[in-house]
Amino acid sequence: MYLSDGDLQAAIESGRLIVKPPPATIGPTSIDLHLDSVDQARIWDIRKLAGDNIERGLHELQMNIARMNYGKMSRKYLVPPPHEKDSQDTDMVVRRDDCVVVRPGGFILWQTKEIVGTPEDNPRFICFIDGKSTRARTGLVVHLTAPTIHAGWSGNVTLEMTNCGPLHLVLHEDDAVAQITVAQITNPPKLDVGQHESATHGQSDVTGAQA
Amino acid sequence: MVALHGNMSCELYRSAFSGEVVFAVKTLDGKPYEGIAPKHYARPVDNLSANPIHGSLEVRVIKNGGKSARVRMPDGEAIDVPLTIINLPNK
Repeated sequence: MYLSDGDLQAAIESGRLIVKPPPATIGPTSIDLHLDSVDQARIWDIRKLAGDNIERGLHELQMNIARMNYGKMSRKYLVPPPHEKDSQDTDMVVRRDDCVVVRPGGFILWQTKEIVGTPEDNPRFICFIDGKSTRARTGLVVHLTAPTIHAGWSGNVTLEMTNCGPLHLVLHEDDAVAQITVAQITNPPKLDVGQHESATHGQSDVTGAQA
Repeated sequence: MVALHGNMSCELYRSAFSGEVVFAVKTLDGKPYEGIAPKHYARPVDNLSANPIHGSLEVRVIKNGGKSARVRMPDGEAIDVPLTIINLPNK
């Protein structure tokens, strides 16, 4: 069952649903999420990644997504977008003073201002990240995949945004570009032994851009 | 056995985003693993930088025995680590 506005409010007030800072308004069945400071916008430094890959004898833009260490990759290759005046024509995302411009085809990561989720102990809800239809009509996709905030997790959400439209999209801090809906789960996860395969089970050495 | 809350010794780095940290551990077979976690799962979180500092990460211990433990981390993955880096309550 999805929570409607009154139940969303009650869940926040009781601490069973975490939304910090608490929302100024709540929709009929959703809560808007807003972009954090422009300084939180990030893009992949594909020039550096390409250079490192070429040094290793790999295709310049190769990334073995299931075998990379994301933490290490993010430390090395996630960077703020270049300022517009310093950018090149091939830069799809640029910073312009207090905003970011995402050109057609551009891809950007940007965390939400809100910390969202559920408490670790006895979580009763699961949340889904979604875009907003009016923004989507411009071509803005705000969450490519994995929209689920699983029970027991909370944090700032990192939005994976891409511009699929023909326009240059301008994004600012506090722009409401996403929303969450909340559903009640049957029971809190038990996390019993044996239900979780190790992430390194059967994994061979990392290949591709190892960073 | 139901998963227990525990703390895993690890190295911490500043993440690209202010709301999270990058953590690094060695798995049971010695391979490096680096993931990301919201800040409230890690200690300490002040003065993080591109250089690692020693810290800890809240994890769920879903299996332990002998010299190893399987832990579920805030990034959603589960790994096997030496039990020596896990601090369990009442351990």
